[in-house]
Amino acid sequence: MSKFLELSLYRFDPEKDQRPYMADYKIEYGSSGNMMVIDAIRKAQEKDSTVTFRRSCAQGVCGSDGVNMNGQNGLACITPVSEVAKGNKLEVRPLPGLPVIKDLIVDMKPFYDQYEKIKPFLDNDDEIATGHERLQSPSDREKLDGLYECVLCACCSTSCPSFWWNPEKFVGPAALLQAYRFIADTRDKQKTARLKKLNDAFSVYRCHGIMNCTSVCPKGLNPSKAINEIKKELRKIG
Amino acid sequence: MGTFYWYLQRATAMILLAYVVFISFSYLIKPWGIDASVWHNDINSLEMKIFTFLFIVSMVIHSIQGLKAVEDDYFSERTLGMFVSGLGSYAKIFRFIYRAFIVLVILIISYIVVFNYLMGM
Repeated sequence: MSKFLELSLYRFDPEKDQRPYMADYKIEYGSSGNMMVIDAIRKAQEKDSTVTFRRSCAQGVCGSDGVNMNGQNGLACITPVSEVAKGNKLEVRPLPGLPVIKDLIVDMKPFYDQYEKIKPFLDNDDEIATGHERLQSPSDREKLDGLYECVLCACCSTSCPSFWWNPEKFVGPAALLQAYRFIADTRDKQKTARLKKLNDAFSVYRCHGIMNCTSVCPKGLNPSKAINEIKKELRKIG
Repeated sequence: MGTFYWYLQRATAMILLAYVVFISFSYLIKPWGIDASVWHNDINSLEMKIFTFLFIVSMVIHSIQGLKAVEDDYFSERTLGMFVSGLGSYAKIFRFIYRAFIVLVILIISYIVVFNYLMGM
């Protein structure tokens, strides 16, 4: 493996630049001969302090450093350079389909607007029978596995062409995964209302089963399956 | 309405598939023993005309759904603007031309099928 990584970063400062451009940085590998993509970006920032990106936990938990690496979305903090670099070249761009605020930072508002739409909270006005919590059988609880783990990094929604073209109308894989998380939850009392709200030509049915969402999810979740489950539930209510 | 469109898309697809399979097996895959007079009699039978009418209606409904999806995705201000800066402001004109073209194609198909075939002119 080469001693250096040729890192190409998407740069755009709306206060200075007319157009975005790609800036090249020569990054030295550490003694291990590999590193996470976020480390490469940080090394670029050491060379040029104006390089701007989002990060927080750097352990794949907060979901704040979603970027596009050589054409594939993912979390920069848990993606090794060796996994995405072609030869010793790596191109890092912001998540596609969302407005760029600066460099690798995108405006997540369209994504969060869709998340808000699906009411991501347990809706149940019934008295709590046990006096302290709403109980659920282990088998009902199992239905939520693979749904609740989403960290809202937006890697899936921003890899979905249906979300690129219709971000105001198509709910997108991340929010639909969360929608199904509450539809499948036996403690929630708004299942039918939630389904009826999604029963239009865009919200769910705009998913054409491309499955980019499932292939890029850094947490290994399957939004495509959840969307199909929602479609099945929709057909049950007619 | 989303589920209704979903069913409509699949129901029309089933009719399209049935028609194509029927025509393929009846006349294209096994063409022996079929001459122009057999073909002419078959295709002018009432059953065949009803089946063909259903096929055309299904094709129009199925196509409109697909073409509407294309319009929503690729003839929006966002998408056109992405391809060429400033083109997005002409999205309405593009959509009008696109829809006019679709209507024209449907009218031509209807004319050919209804007047020249179904009504036997």
